[in-house]
Amino acid sequence: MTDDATIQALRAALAVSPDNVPLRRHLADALLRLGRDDEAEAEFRACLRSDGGDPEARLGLARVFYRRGRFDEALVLIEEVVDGGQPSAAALILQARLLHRRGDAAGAVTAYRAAVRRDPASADQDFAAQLGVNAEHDSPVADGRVRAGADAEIDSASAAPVERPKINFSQVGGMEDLKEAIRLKIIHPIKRPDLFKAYGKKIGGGILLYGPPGCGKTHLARAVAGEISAGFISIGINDVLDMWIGSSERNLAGIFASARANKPCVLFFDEVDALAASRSDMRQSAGRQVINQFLAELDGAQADNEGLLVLAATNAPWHIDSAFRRPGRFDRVLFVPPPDAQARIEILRVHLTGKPAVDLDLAGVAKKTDGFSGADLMAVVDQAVEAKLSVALKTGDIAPLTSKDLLTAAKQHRPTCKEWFASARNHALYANQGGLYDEVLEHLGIKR
Amino acid sequence: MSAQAVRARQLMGIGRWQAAAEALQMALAEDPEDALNHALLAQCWSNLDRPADARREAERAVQLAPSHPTSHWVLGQVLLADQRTADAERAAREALRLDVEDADHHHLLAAILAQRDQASAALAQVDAGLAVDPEHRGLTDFRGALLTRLGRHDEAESVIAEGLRRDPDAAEHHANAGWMHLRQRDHARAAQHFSEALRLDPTDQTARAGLVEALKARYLIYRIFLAWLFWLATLSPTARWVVILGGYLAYRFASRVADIYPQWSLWLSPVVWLYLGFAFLTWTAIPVFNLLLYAHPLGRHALSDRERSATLGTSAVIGVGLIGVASYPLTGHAIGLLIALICAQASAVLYPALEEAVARHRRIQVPACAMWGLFQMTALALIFAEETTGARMLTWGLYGWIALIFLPSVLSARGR
Repeated sequence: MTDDATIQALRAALAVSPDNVPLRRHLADALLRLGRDDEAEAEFRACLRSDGGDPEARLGLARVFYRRGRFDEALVLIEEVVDGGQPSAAALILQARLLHRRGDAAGAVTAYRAAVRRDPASADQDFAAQLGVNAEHDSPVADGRVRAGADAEIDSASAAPVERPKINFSQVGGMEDLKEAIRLKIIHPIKRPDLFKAYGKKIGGGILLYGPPGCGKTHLARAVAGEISAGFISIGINDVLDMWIGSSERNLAGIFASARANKPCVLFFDEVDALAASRSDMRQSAGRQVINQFLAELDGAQADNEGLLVLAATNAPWHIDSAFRRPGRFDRVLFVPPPDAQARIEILRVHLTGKPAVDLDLAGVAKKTDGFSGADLMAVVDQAVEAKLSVALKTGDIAPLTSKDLLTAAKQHRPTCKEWFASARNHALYANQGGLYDEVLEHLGIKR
Repeated sequence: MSAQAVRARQLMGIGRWQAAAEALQMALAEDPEDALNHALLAQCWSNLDRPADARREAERAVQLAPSHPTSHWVLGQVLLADQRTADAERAAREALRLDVEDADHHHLLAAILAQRDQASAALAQVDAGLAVDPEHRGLTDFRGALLTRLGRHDEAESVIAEGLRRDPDAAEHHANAGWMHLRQRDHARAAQHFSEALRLDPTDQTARAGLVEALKARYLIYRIFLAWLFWLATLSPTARWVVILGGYLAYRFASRVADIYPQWSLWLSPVVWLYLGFAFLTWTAIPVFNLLLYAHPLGRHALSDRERSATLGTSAVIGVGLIGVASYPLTGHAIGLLIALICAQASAVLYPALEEAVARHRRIQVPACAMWGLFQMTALALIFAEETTGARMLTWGLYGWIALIFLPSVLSARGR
């Protein structure tokens, strides 16, 4: 039986007995294994609605959160499971990983040991080595504590997981100009360094992507890594904020160190305005230090940055300190607009795959969804599906989705980009030094 | 403090209100009795433009820690943002009573008093706050703004110049300077300062509104209108109504005298017409000159969305009125003039209603205007059908219109 068939069979069984919590959990676990996190999350939540105390469903939901980088929420859930008594080895391992991420090495070691005591098969050699559990005397880490004198640069406690993205530019719909700019800045220099050297053109520097939320900045960054078969390290806002408390400087050094160790590597800072904010309140003590260190790492002051590509994305480029835009740092600032009609068709097609549909006029829907972000389009498909589902629950018939359903859902959905453009417009009108936001003005059709 | 509460404070520091609110909700799920977290959540909701949620959280904070001044201070802030000035004043006074040494408490109360049209009392409060903390930036800024508003230009000038000297990169100082120059009828310098304020902080609403006024002040007629508004603003609320009603009574008296003694009408009728023209200007100046801004490359974009839709709506009504006037010489039918009269009246009440920022006030004003408009249209239809009740209805409509003119001030004076 294929994976999809399994899922469908489980769903069909659930349609007959919707209150069967173990069955629903089974479905959610299967979805999680297939990487269908959204659906898995929905099913786990449904389990918890029926049986709030189900530790397995909680563990599942915590796993979803962990995969999505929502570590704090994952930790809250997993601690509930552990505090509830008799936690499974899997729950304890996840707790150990979460505590480890948070920098609570001692807690992580305790949880890991408890897990192995409960089920010796749950032992994970790599993770144990990171924690320094059962370490030899010459290991730099012992029981989670870095031994005095151990080199901070190789402190893997702060190392970020390196991905190997499978997508490339051909899987990014539209955005041709953007892709071309990125090719010129990043991809050609890596693929043809000789040409660039011949013209004496310096290789390096980063790209800052900005634009409304949900328009594919992260997706694009991941595709860049795939395009050049490089590693990909994504640093989200929570990782950045963690740096403000605790041993932050080393965290940042560790991230850059592991990127350099995995060359070629794309280092992607999402919501970089949290790190590079120009606000005066961010310039205080600890904050200022993180900013300075970030700049030093970008400049490659202490280590060679060749083969290391730094990409950053933000919804609020106006909050970014101008020091970040100097040559050699983020010297290219690119606007990622909401998807154009062609890209919207592609996005809708992707989200509609595997869903029952009949004579869909995607071009027509795309025309009516001008200004919708990728995330908005996903919400439109979701809403249309929900509407169909509620009818199907009453009648028992599975009616396919039509263009009309999508258009109705689109009418009810307020595009999130609108709000972004309202504030971007002000910045572009009044604070457009050096033509930084010319592309926003162009997109809005404002001539000055 | 829990990890979530720490995270929430960080997120608030970088203006991520939505994410901060989520973190605070999680922190509150762990400890629902934490008054400070409720107060912070109230601030997040207020910034996310969810006044009802903000108020609920702030009230919960006050309930949990009634002796803590911060809870009352946040409640006051939240209520002020929602234009519930009467309740906000009560909360601010309580915060001040609990801690009179906090300049922020003085600042809040002063802002509320200014909103409640008590500029002099607000200035006294600002001075009390500056006695506590002479370096408080918000208070020094506000002092400059209040002095300008009260027409004390010399003092205002020195306060604002000092502010600009100390911190030339603060948008608020430039916005203040812009308003000061606007009141001194130097619209070009005002526009420069407003543009600079907006360059430094493109979200500064005071500067944006100022820029709109400065651009319109390029026209002499609008400058006269602005001077009138600024002069009215220096008066106490009572004095203001005395001036407006006095003008109206003088007009009635003059037209009456002109009726009784026709030999005087040569002198009196220009006065009467001037008054009528001025009254008409005060009703229509804002939308008409906003419409002129559409010809200005920056002006069109400087208007807020609400101003834009109110301008277009009111301009349409004025346009219908003008067609009515133009139709009179062609058709010879007085109905065109009546339409023009009603449109002139409508333009005076429609713009404030459509432009009203407080949604719950708008929900009263707009339907009231619509009902009045329907009533007047019925009256016109009856007049057209030569029914005598039509003319009587038109007179009642006039009283209704006067009530509509006063409606916005009544709503905002209630402060609820």
